[in-house]
Amino acid sequence: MNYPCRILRTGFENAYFNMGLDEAVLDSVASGASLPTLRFYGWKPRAISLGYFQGIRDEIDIEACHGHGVDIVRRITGGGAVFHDAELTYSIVIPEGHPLAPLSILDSYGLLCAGIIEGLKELGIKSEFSPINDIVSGGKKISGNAQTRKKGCLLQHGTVLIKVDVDEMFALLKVPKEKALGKMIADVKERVTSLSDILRSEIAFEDVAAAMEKGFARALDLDGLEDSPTQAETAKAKELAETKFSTKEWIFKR
Amino acid sequence: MKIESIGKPQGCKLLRITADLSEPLGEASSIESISIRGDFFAVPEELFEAAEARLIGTKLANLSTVFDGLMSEMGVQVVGISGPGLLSTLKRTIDELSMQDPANRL
Repeated sequence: MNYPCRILRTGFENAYFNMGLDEAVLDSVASGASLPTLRFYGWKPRAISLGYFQGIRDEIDIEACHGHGVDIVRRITGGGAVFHDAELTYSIVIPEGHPLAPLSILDSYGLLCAGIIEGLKELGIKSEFSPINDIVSGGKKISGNAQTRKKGCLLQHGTVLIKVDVDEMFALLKVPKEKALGKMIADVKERVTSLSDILRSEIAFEDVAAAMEKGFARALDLDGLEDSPTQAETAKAKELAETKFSTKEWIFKR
Repeated sequence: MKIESIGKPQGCKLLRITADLSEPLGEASSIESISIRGDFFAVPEELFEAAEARLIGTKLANLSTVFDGLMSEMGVQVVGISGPGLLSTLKRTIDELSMQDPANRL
């Protein structure tokens, strides 16, 4: 059984539009106007996305972000803060009740993260799911994922680190020492790795996207249809970017 | 008394709690205000915020069961946060405060 799925490659956009488009696609799938959708994208300018329940001042050095030209946005999903620099982001939207959307959040992380693990395998990288919502390679985090359920749909988005400047990342994020607890790694800076670190060579965004598309198709048995966002989705994404995701009320919500 | 707690209890993601607790600090302390932040997941998110507000007036001794009961009653699916996790995070801070002032012992 192949599951029909729309594939979107929407290139590099700003943080507010990116989060707006994920929500617009969720609306569109929820209404039945669009197929389940897998989207790949990047961030320009670079940005930090905060988890829904995180306190902005707890997690981010706001002044440092301004100094580094890094935008800040709050996601509609929980989870931790992510520095979106040299990385690939994906989002997948599936109606609840679909075989790929188990009721349990934990179960669905395991199921959907298999797409990333298969994608990494395409690139010659061995990795494994690390509950609750991470993928690790060689014991270090290479992918973080976050999920919500709204309007009868599951939305999961996540990242694959292509290259990481750990010092810059930790200059922008306030990562407490408690974060390393239970990870068998004393220094939080040692927790992350990237494709470039593992492969010891540069790899292009497009090549990573292509590998992940193959990985998701294989792991989730998707019958992918390359497409573009509809006019309605793009219009809604712009509206959400302006009226929600870029507003102080939303970003400083907590 | 306002306290700030941070912790990563077993089975939980990073939790940050800011709470006003009635004095003297102890199991009979009531929550006068509370803000729960962190890396956890709670779906639907908006209902979690409503549940958080309903923790006001809860005694610390009952926090764990009240929180878990609210999540269940309101249909909030949580991952990376729990009643026992919240309580142990707060307790650790209160224990640290009690080292400075034994009157705050929980």
